[in-house]
Amino acid sequence: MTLLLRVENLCFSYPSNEGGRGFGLTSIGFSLKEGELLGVLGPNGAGKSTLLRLLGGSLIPEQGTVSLLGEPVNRLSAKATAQRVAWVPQELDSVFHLTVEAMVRLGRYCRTGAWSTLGREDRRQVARALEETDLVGLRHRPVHRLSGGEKRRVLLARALAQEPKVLLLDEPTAHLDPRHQVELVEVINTLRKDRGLGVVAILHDVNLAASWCPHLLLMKDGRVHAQGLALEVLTPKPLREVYGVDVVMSPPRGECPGPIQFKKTTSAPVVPSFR
Amino acid sequence: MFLGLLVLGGTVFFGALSVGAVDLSGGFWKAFTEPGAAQEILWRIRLPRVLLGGLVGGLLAGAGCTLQGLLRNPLADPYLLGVSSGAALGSAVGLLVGIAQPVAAMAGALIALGAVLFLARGGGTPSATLMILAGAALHALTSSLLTFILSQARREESVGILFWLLGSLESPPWGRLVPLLGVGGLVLGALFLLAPALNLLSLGDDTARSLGLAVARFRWGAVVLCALATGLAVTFNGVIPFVGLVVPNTDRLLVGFYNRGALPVSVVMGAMLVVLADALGRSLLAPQEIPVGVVTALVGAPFFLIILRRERKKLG
Repeated sequence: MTLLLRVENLCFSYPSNEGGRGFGLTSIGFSLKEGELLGVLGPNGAGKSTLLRLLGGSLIPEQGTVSLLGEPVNRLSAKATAQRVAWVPQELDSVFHLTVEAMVRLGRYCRTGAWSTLGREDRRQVARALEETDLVGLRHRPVHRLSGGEKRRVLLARALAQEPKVLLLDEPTAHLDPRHQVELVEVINTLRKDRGLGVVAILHDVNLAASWCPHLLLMKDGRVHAQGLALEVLTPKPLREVYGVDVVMSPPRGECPGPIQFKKTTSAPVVPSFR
Repeated sequence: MFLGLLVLGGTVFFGALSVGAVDLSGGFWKAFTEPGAAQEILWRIRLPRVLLGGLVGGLLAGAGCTLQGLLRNPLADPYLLGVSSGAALGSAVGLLVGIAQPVAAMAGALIALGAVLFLARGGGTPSATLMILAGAALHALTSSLLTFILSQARREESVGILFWLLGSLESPPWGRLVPLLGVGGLVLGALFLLAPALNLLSLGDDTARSLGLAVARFRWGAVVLCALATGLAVTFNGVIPFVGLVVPNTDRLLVGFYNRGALPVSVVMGAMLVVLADALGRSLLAPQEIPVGVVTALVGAPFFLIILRRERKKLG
């Protein structure tokens, strides 16, 4: 299996208001092979989205490297990066109302010339992406008329049209009802198998991560708190340390951890302070 | 659709050539080919004027369409953002100080656009409200500076500036027209090349970058081009309001939002609007002329409102 993504000793910080360096990420490292799925977990503000931006090349690391198929991402041009890695944001944000197909075609920008004329291969890839995400019937609809689940599929299709090797998902199932969640997970699993895509997914739902992701990265305050197989990472101790709540765990089911319940912590109450 | 546009464009073009203080529509072909007063009028006066009007309209509409994609705001327009009046101020200053007018106008437009973007930016994508407010304030500032210059200038000079400001197309000699058309054509060509990437940018900076656009570089290039286009249009023709706003928005309602199609159509429609407005301005009260800016607003605004009402569902 080809190594798609390798992250070594990745450090980054945002400039703070006082002029120095503020919040950031400290020495993160992992690798991702063809067809693998890595789930990124952690409380709000742990640095998950920042990590995703660094992986996609829209932020430049201060130290360490992100290499995509062996090349450091900050040495690749914008188009070359987009041919290797695709980002699927949470929201479909468009001021001008494009149709589904036009939106998906925008994914071909990184593989076409100056005037973005679509050739036969480009059109074939767009059709394939629409098919894989089950959007063929909706392709002439304006995107702002779609439901939340359909919009999410459009974003996925646009990313697929880039023919990337790595897919970065920002909370792919947030705000989706159970049926759409299950469908999306299935679509992504199929893509991992058929296209050999490596997937990095930020997740909020710990139970979804437990049942879906074989590999996990648990983050807190810009650092990796635990990483490895789901069975090793999703144990009461790290979860309590990261989320600050007590954890009740059911016995594992095969290779996946069992259902996890959170309850208000009893040992060391966290008193929120509003000042 | 495109065929219809071509036919319509042709009709406007020849119609504009034939109407005016002297009606040429009867012996049009004769006027074209046989020497005489009619041919003089056609070749020396009408044709340069129509070509110039078309270029100005195309530049303004193209700049408007580009700015709207660039700033992710359908209200962005060279006139509303104060870029046109910045160019006018630059041009007037150039006239008095003795700098070549196109250069001074482009510099004025660039400074104005830069100022609006700087004021509205605050880190991320320029906020729509801030941008429109900054544009309005800038517009007021440059207009009053312009009025000040007018009040201080000698009488003949100020009358000259005033006429030009009102936006009345003149008929330049061919020797001057050809280089203007060349430069304008280059700017338009460059704007066309930006069109596909504009779609990406209208999705937000992060998404655009992830789809393969070098956002910062592209934004700079596009801003400079818009300022150049506006500056050029203003030098030729004074401030023509409304073309940059109405045309691309009408066009998006009719053609759709995919910029690669919308931008060229905007340019053609902008050219048509200005040529048509100029033709009406020349012929309605002939031999008196109505400034083209007045007519674009009179023709454009109701048309825009009708389209807006008919197509409002698409917007919601």
